[in-house]
Formats: sequence, C-alpha cells, structure tokens
Amino acid sequence: MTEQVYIVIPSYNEGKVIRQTINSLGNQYHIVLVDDASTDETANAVRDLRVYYLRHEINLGQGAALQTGMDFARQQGADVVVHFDADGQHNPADIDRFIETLRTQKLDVVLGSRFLRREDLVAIPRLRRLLLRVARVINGLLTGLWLSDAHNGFRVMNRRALNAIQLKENRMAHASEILMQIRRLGLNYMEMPTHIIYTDYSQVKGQRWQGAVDILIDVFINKYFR
Amino acid sequence: MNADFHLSFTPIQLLLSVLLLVIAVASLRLFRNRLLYRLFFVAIVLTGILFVAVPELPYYIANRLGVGRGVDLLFYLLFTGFLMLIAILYRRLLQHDVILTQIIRQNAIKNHRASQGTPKE
Repeated sequence: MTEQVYIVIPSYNEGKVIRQTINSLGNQYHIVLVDDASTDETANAVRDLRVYYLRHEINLGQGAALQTGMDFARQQGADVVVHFDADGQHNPADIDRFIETLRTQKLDVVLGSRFLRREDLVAIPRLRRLLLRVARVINGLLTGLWLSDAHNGFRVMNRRALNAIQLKENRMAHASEILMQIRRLGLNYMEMPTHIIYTDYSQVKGQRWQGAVDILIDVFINKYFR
Repeated sequence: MNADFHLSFTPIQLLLSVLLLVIAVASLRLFRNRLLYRLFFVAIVLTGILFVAVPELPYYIANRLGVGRGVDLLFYLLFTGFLMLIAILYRRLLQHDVILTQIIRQNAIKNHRASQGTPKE
C-alpha cells in the first residue's frame, strides 16, 4: 500500500516560478496549489500541470491558504501532508527523507530547520539569521516549543496531525500558531535539517523584518484576545 | 446645588436634545436584535439629554466623585467609552474575518480544478 502524499503549496503572485517549483517535485506526489487570489499569471502558468488548483477569491494570507490546502488534502484522503513554499526555496529531495523519518520514528510532525547543519546555516543571509535567532526565542517563550529554527515553511505531517491542526491565523503568524498547536495537542515532533536556497528572487519576495513585528502582534492577539 | 432649576431650554440645549433623540431613534433601528446594545445606547442618550437639560448635574456628580469639573468627568467617560467601542468593534471584525475565511475556503475547495491524473494512476 502506498501512502497518499499531498504537497500543499500556498502561492501568492508566484506566477513566474510556480511552474518550475511544481515541475521540480516530479510526479510521485499529489500536488495541491492554493492560489491566494494572485493577480498575476499563476492560474494559467499551471493549467496543463498535474496539480489540484484551488483559488481563494480574496487574498487571505499564507496561513489561510495552508489550511485550505490541508482541508482539501484531508477530504481527498491524504496520509501525509507536506508544506512547501511556492518560490522554490525548498529542496524537493528533503521530502522523502522527512517522510521516511516521520514513518520510522512514529512522529506526527517533522519540522524543517536551517540551524542544524553548518552548511545550511551559512546559506542564510546574515540579517535574516539574526532575525531568526530573535524570533526563535520569542517563539519559544510564546509557544513553549523550543526549536532551533523559527518560521521555516517546510513541514511534514501525518494524518493525525492533519486532523488535529486547525490554523485560525490567516497571515504569517500561522507559523507560531502551528507550534502552539503541536504543543497543546501533544503531537510528536522532531526537527530535521533542510537546505533553503536563497535566490535573488526569494530574497525580494521574502519577509522583511517589519513583518516580524506584525507577526508578533498577531501571535499575541491570537493568544490572548480570541 | 440650586434646587429651583427650571426647564427652559436655550437654543443650543434644544438643538442638542433633538440631535440626541434622533441618534436614539436611529440606534434603536440600527441595533436590531441586540437588546443589550439598545438598552446601553438609550441609557447613554437619556443621560446626555439629562445633562443638556440640567447642566449643573454633571458638575454636581463630578464634584461628588472628586473629579473637579463636569467637563473632565465627561471627558473621562467618553474616553473610556471610545476605547471600549474600539475593542468591541475589533472583536466583531475578527469574527467577520473567520466567517469570510470559511466561505472563501469552502468555495475554493468546491470549485477546485482537478489534477490531470494522480500519481497512482
């Protein structure tokens, strides 16, 4: 029996690279592309590809897009769900390695980390590295989950986690929210090294440090005012 | 406090009273099915009219509370009310966000474009 692996790719205006990202995944997985109301050529760029294409009519944010993809994957009967960035900064070769660990170690979630191997660490731009270290501490304090990395978008989860995790945080604060839920729901998790490719493209598209402050406020509001 | 105040309205008092009454009626229509909001609003408007009609009243209350001037008392009340309003509206906004998200999500899932063949096939 083969496991049904669903790769969920939240995407907002990544029309230029989305084809390449999807093609890099090969054809052994189900691919769920959640187009978060892109205003570019995304929809047409993937028209002939073997993907499930879901589109938000209004831009809701990455957290919401992930949850939409997860809901869809669950309905389709997914055994394993992978969170994968649309801009191609994740390494497709990591997927099987993570799933293997998920299975053999009987884990619910495997989280990617850029801080476990020296060669991954040095690939991170310096300012980004500093920001991530600060975010890591804040995350640890808020979520109670002390990880080596913060806001790494590469995650692999099994059916149990898929059923239990429910992201309410529509925007970027979902990354902290996932950690909070992993802790609260008592899911078994582990971090594994990932290599992130920082291209000029992903650098420009990536989050700015101001975004981090926003995320922090979102996490706070979500934690105490809902 | 002077006991023999009589209810003769100056033009500004009249104007303010009428305005407050209009707001009261409008809010009754606005907050349909929200008894608590309605009662709260009516209470505020009635207090407003009372204060307009008897300007010595806020001054008197303020003195008893140790605030000093009636205007200061009103300012404190307004400021507190303003912050409360923001909190209530923000909460409401968040609730609407949740509903909107659900609708958009359901639509996205329902109207998905199917994959051209699955890995197993």
